[in-house]
Amino acid sequence: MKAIKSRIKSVDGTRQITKAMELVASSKLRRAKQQEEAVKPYYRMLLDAIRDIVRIGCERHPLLNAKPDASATCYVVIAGDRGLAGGYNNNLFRLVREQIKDGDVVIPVGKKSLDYYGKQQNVILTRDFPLSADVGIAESHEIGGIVCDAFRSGRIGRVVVAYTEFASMLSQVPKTLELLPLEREILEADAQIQAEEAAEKPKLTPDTIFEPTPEAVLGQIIPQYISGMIYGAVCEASASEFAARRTAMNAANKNADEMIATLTLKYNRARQAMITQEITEIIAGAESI
Amino acid sequence: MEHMKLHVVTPEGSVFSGEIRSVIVRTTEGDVGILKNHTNMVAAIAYGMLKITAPDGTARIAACMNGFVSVEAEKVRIIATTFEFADDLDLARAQRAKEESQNRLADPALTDDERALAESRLRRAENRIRVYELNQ
Repeated sequence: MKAIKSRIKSVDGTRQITKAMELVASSKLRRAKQQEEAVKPYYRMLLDAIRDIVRIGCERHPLLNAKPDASATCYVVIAGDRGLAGGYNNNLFRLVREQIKDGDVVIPVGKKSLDYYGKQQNVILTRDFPLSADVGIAESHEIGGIVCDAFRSGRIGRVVVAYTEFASMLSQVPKTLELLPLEREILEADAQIQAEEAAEKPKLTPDTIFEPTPEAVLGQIIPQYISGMIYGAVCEASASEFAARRTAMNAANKNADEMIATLTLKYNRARQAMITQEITEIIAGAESI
Repeated sequence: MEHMKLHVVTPEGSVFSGEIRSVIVRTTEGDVGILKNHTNMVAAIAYGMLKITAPDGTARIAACMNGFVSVEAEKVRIIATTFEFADDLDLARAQRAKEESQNRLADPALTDDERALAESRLRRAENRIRVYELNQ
């Protein structure tokens, strides 16, 4: 009986912790979601501008065109800093594992990501981002700078960012997104835009002045766009992480409740049995006198 | 005087949206003033000050760094990495950043990357301080 009682107590303690974690995750989730919403218009507008510039006749920028001779891909893998979030980290690593090839390089972002890729064969480009919670705009720019430089130098031919998409509160999907080269993405999106184009949005016309030159402007905008996308992915990944943790902790709470209920039942039964036995003993004792 | 629309977007979201009389922005080629009926233009923004004149003639200045400005069909869009109105600037923080990056740059063992990082941090801090002082 004593054992059951202490068991109940310990489960209750755990339940309090998971409950607190759930609440913390919910409030952090709200903030991460807001951040993600805020960054969206930023990189969308940048992409718009890039498309406009490319459309009015500036296709020749080193960051736009694929490099057929450079085969290596760079994966920016954005995972969490902590566990206890269900399959959040592992699902992402599994997805990347399916795609990654020998010779590809990785930029891990977040503690779990760094731990995981520290044990793998792939070359790690930088270990400067051990905490995904600390990655803000400045850090995203750094990552953006690193991948753009590596792409320009021909060391890598593709840049892919792997993160977890926030589909809904209950479902988070690991996803990979191709950042560089931009060319393919722009062409694909163009058809889609043309449908929407008739709408109110003013477009740049060919007589637009570029200060100093279209190439220079592109050279400034593209790295910004890449950084913006990375920052967006980091924000979305952290929203997903909190949602995943919330779900996991919610499940843990339910399990704890269930366990406490079963244990309490067991405890009451044992108590009842003990009382019955005592009464029987007393009666038996009284009768024998 | 006629007015036009200005929209400023940063990674933290939209920070300004509304009617203005004019805007002066520091591009990589120098300061550019934009009034209504400006021809279409796209320019890269350098580290510098930005001045917005509201329809009622009052001016506000801001520290605006890294990004670009586009003028299309009477609409001005500014997309910047950082954009802070002078009233919101934190002088103490900028001064601290300036000092820290100066100390860092004094270290001869710095790699090129680290040096570039510290230099751009110093430039950002100096720009913020300058804008703050101009506002006083």
